[in-house]
Amino acid sequence: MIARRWVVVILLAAGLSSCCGCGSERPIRDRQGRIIVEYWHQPMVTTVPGLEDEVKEVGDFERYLARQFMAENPDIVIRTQCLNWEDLPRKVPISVLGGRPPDVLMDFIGRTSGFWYQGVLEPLDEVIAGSEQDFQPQLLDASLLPDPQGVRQLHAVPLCGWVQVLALNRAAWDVQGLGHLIPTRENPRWTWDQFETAMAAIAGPSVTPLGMQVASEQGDYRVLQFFWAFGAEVYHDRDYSRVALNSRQGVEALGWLVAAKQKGWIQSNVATAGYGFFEMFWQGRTVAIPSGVSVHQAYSNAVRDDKVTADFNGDGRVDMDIFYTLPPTRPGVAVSLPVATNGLAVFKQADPAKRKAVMRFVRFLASSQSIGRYARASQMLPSRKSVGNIFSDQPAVTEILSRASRCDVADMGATSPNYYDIRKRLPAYLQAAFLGLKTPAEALAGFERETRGVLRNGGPSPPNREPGG
Amino acid sequence: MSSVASSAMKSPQRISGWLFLLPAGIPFAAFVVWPLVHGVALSFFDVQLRGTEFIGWENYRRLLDDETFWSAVKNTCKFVLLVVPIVWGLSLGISALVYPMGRFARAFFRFAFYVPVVAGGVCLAMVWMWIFNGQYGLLNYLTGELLGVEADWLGRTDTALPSLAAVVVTWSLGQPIIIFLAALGGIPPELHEAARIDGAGAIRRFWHVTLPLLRPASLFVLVTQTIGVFQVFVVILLLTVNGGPANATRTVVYGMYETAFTPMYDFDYAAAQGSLLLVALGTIAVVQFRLLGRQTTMD
Repeated sequence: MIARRWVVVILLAAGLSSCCGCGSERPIRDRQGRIIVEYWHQPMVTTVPGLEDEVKEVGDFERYLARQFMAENPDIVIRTQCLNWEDLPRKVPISVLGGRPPDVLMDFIGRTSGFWYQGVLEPLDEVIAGSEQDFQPQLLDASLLPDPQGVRQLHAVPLCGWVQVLALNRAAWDVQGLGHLIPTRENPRWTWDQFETAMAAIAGPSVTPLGMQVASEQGDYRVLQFFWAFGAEVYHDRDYSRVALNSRQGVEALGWLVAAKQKGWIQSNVATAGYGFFEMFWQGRTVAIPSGVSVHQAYSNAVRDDKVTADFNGDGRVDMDIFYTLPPTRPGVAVSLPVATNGLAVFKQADPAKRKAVMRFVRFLASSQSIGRYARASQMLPSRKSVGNIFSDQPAVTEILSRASRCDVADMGATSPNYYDIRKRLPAYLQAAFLGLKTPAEALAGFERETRGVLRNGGPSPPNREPGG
Repeated sequence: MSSVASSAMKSPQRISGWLFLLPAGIPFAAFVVWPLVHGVALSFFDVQLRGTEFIGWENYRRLLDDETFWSAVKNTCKFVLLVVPIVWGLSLGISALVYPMGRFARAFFRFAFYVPVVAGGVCLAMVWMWIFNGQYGLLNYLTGELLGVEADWLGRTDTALPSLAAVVVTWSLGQPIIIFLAALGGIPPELHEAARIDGAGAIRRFWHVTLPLLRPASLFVLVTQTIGVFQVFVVILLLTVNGGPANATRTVVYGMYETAFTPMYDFDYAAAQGSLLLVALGTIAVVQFRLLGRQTTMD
């Protein structure tokens, strides 16, 4: 009787283990003997100038690139997979845990760096060997991360960088005869007083000039831009063992933001509103958004969807004139801009032949032509200088990117080991300050206390200080 | 008697008994028991993409320091204290009112209160999202018209949690009402009749006859509701942004989800939170059984 019971238990356990069994690794070759390379990517590109017939939706461009590559490399087959924004942070780590990661991943280096610290990526210095000088130094620098021995290696080949500037709807000032309050097209820089005067002049019951949200960590660089404007830092001198936001400058900056909300310069529901401020921008309820240089592109989509209704003088016509400026800073503080770099990462390869094939594909993707197309399509700064002026038909974008590339890069700690864990903690404290539950000083002190706990308990721990950093 | 019957059970019967259990037993073991055991085990390891390492009680020690986790525990307790008594009281009251009605009226109300259970949390949360909308929501329209009060219900720390609790109450009533109606039907009418003859009014009859006899049903409702509300998640995910504002609506299960599945990938730490919740729920259920589980007889 007892033996029979054990038989049942063993059968159940066998059934269970088959249900929970681990996935097998991906096959290296297909039936025709070609090496299979799996390429997963962001849904970044929807249109590419010059490839209108080939690229009609997300994933088309990567399939086009794969076809081009396979035509030149018949021994390799590329399988592309476009992941949506929600899947990207979940599907990739789960695939790694399941032993079936992609071979090549194109994503934000804030995410790929996490894989580097987990030791599951190949270093890629060999891919750009000899052409380092062709890469934008800020983007290349952001992609170099320390290995367990502290040696900086290229964890992802940078493709392009999203740069934050301040996008204005210039028409809001112009139609009211206030155009003289904002910077000129020739010199799109603010003085702090000029910025405050322009905000005060335009704010009113139907316009809260500054578009911002602190409901979640998404888009935190928008609010952090004003911390940097006061000279505050998230991390000091690349020391990722301590968050430095709770400083005199940080408290001043948060105090200014809270006061700006009270003055009606920031929407009253900033603590809980999501991305509605773009809608507000099209409706003329907000006129200045810290943003990338893709607002023109988004504007075309908004016009197509009949969302643009901004009308400041009531003449029934849309008042929209998108104008990029560098974000304002307090006197004596240099402009520093967050740059979010997208790059190509390669997961560890056990098979030498496959590794070779993967590297060949990455070299192809990192060519000037591919990078130029990626950057142009996503309105980002290309990582390679040799792509030339890809925005020659958009002088405003060319001008602002040229100015932006000369600014300091604001360190959000995007490639630090605890980036997401720290980042997720900030919104609750900002919300508490905006809702008047805590003073700015209390909010930042609370944030610092909590992050100290996170960093003490920390995740993976590579060297905190980079050599010479 | 039963043990005699059991020992007398022949082997083919025993095997067929197991076979009958298998269709439900295998999925239960695979999707409930195994993840539960695995989850508890996981909490003692440091799970990294490159491999796992045994770390003992380290994740539990981390929990002690984690302010966000304890604020989520506080919110969850508030949620339970708000929702469970209201659901218990309301469902009991509604059942007591509906039970004496005619067969069709009873069926109608049973159906009406059960619809939200069938509709599912996501659909209902979407409807409530519209109701709570600060600009064009029904709630602000009504409170504005009737009371002259409009608020950002989910955007204020003092109103967000009670608002979500109200939402959870609306979709939690259906099942307890069904249970109470069934339990009311099980009370012999002679008991009420005897009490009436002894001069007891409606309230005294309810208090001294109905309520004690509903004790097993009440216990079931309290235990299942407590467990259910401790696990509140969908309403937080859909109606708030990350359990905001200022973590005022963040609950333990939402925190677990965020810890495990946002780019933090802290599966083991999330498992420790889940294990702690398991222990807490088990303890609460035992206490509820001890306090309310005394056998009620109709002798």
